[in-house]
Amino acid sequence: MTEWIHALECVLVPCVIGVSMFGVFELWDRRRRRTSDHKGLPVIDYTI
Amino acid sequence: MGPVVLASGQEVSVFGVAALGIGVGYFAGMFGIGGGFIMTPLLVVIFGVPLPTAVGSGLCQMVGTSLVAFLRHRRLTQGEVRFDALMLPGSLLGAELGARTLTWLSEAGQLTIEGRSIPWISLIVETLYAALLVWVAMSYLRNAGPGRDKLDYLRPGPLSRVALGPRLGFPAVGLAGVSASLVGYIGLGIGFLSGLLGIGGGVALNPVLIYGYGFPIRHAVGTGIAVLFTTAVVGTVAHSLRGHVELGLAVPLLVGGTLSAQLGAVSSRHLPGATLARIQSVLIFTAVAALAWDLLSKFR
Repeated sequence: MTEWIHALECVLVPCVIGVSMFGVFELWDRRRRRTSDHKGLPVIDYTI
Repeated sequence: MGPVVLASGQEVSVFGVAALGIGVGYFAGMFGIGGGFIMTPLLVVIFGVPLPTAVGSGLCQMVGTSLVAFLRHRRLTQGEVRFDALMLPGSLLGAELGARTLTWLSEAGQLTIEGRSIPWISLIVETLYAALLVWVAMSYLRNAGPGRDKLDYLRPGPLSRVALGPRLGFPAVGLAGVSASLVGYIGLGIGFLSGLLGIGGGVALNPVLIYGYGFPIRHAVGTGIAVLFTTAVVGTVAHSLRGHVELGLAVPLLVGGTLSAQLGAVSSRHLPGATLARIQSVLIFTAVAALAWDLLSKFR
């Protein structure tokens, strides 16, 4: 049982951090788009 | 903030791990890759983290990074969802097989030649890492020649012509009659690499999609993310049940890496694609040299 709680924690903690960072990046992106003359700002990939 | 104490009793500096995350994340953002394929071997070489723990913690941080990427790409509607769906069952099976193989290797003891010994896990996994990294660096270098920034990858690649049924079309990337079975086997292979090496698989998947199938780059980076996220979750669960995940390592890597990736992506706008590919290849070969040095130092 303890191992499964640890496993759940190991999945939930990075998920919560990931969603929070997504929110921060979205806000930052909106700000960049408002203040930038360039269109098509670079897509950032975090996948590997 | 104190050091992270691993299950093996070894202490690792949180700031050191965060600095590694920041460094790798910066280059990852600059080159449009995730960076886990460099992060995991560097955890072993620089901090002496046991391989299973480096792999498990790398997968754990990838749960966060792939979730951010999934949400971002979904907003941009990039990627071929059918490809993801075909790869998913194989990649889940592959992730579990990879985790089992790693556990088996960690219990396999040592290889002894003329009185010198080296753990089987280091020999096999670090050699596989080095081979994978060399292959990736070579494919980037091969495609960094003059004129290769042009859209010549848009032609259907050789894998899209494999006649292994059933065959399906991928309208988002303009491909028809692609072998669904082959895509399933690719998922299995990518999942196995994830479970065994702690990488998301994008490092292996992107060259396959771009040069093998002829996916446009923006669709290639958006394809496979749902699979990577699911594989990372399954791999994390599999490794955490075996005691191979340290949240104290994964969290600083995740936070440092994702923040600095933003800065790296902005810096990359000032460099041409071919130059970026060459710099990336040099960095990858540096990681290969570090791995080789680590292997040689263990062989005593």
